[in-house]
Amino acid sequence: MERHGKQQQFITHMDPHEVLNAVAAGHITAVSALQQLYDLDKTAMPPLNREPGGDSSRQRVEDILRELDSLIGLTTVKQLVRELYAFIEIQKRRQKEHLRTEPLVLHMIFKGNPGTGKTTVARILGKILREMNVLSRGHLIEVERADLVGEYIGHTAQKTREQLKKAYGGILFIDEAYSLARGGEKDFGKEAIDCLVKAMEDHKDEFILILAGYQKEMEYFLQTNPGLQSRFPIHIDFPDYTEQELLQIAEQMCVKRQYQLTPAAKQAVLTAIRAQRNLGQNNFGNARTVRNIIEKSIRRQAVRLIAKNKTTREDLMVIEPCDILEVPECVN
Amino acid sequence: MRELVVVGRPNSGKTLFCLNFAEYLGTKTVDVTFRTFDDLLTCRHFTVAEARRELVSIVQHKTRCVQSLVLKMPLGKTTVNFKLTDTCGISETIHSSDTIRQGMAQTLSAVRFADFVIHIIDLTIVTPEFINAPANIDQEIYRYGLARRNYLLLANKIDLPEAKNNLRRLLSFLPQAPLLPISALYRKGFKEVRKYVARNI
Repeated sequence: MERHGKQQQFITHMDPHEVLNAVAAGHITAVSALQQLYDLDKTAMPPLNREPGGDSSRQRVEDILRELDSLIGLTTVKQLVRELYAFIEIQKRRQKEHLRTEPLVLHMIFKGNPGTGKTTVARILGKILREMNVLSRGHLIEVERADLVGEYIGHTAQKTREQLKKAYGGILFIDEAYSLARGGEKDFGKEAIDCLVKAMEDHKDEFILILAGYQKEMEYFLQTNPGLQSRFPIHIDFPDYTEQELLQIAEQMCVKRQYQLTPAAKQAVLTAIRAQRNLGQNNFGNARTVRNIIEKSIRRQAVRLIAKNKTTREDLMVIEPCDILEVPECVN
Repeated sequence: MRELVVVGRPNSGKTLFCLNFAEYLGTKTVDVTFRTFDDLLTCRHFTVAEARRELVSIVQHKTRCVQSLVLKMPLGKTTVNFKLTDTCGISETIHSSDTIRQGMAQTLSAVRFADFVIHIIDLTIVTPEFINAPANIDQEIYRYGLARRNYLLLANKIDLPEAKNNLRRLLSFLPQAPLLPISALYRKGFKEVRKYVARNI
């Protein structure tokens, strides 16, 4: 700073820091400092884009939606999520123009068999809503009956409230929600439902409640509690995957883990899927079963390869039908 | 977290605005983080009333360094946190005190890195002489803020009798800026400021 003489006032500084130091040292006034900063920053620092939900945030939402699109099948679900995204965005724009807006009640019911992507979609929804500033944290708290229902009178409300507290700012996802109403009149599940309903009203701006479960049981559950149906404006059905879709899922899982299925292995996967499906109609886990098949075959492939002394890069990646076909036997 | 920087001349009501605005948003106690020129951080916990008593004064240059508050604002289903930064007042003259000159340098640096600049002008000084002065710090802040497109002008002390006329003069003097008349002391016009801030955090 000593380098700057008294005449410094008339010399333009090249570096913004020097300008600030000159102000601190009393060489130049704040006025001329701002003039110089104006000239320096005009080129160096671009004007700020202040649009809330501007390009960058829209870009991020698009990225997340692409993640959703990369899921196989689920066409109706994808459509509904996009609808939801458009709805929220337009409500926001309407609000900006001081038009009347619908209140954003986004509590949802997911109906579908296990392994049809309910949790995955809920996670993605959390991320999207966070990017759109609807949720502050966008995390997913996954609970089941045992996490909500207590052991004695009064314990249930306490436990439920604890879970709710964790979920504020994000999504509370209750899997197998119908089990809350299963136990009959004296069951504590009722207490949990009451507690949830109250929180849905009192804290409707802080979290989103998603109830998930099997199609039939959920419908029965909603019939037994007439108040519930109207409190959940969004119902999403998750249909079972077709065999082709399951095969695609298997391929995608392999690609993600850097493995390859030979055409014969694909046939073997199909056979394995059919065998699993025939074992029990209701217990069939859809995508989760496929994941188990793949993971098991990866382990089998490892056992097959460990006997060899030398393995090529290709050997390490390819899954042969013999790795897969043994899977159903192992299950039994 | 976005940072909103409050700038203006000494005694234009920056600190009072920050504290009363914090109170308007529902804050009862504030944690004020002071950052001195040599980057020394101190944090003090106040109730808003205490902070007003300690930090606000009718004497010029009460605030000598950067003071930040973290405030919350509910937006949709979420509350958004933002930082409201109060600064040392800047003027046209070179001040004789080291600390104040350093404070001014800090202010300028805060303005450069701010996500949003809130410029407060004391309406009582907007006289014809003010407008005709050759070097005017307010005009420079205005020019800088507009170029960065992150600028809001608050015309303070609207409650005083001469303010109405001066407001008209200010409007023609700095025509392009978004301008909101407020009274930091009586909390007038805060609703509009809140709306404006909500759109920019």
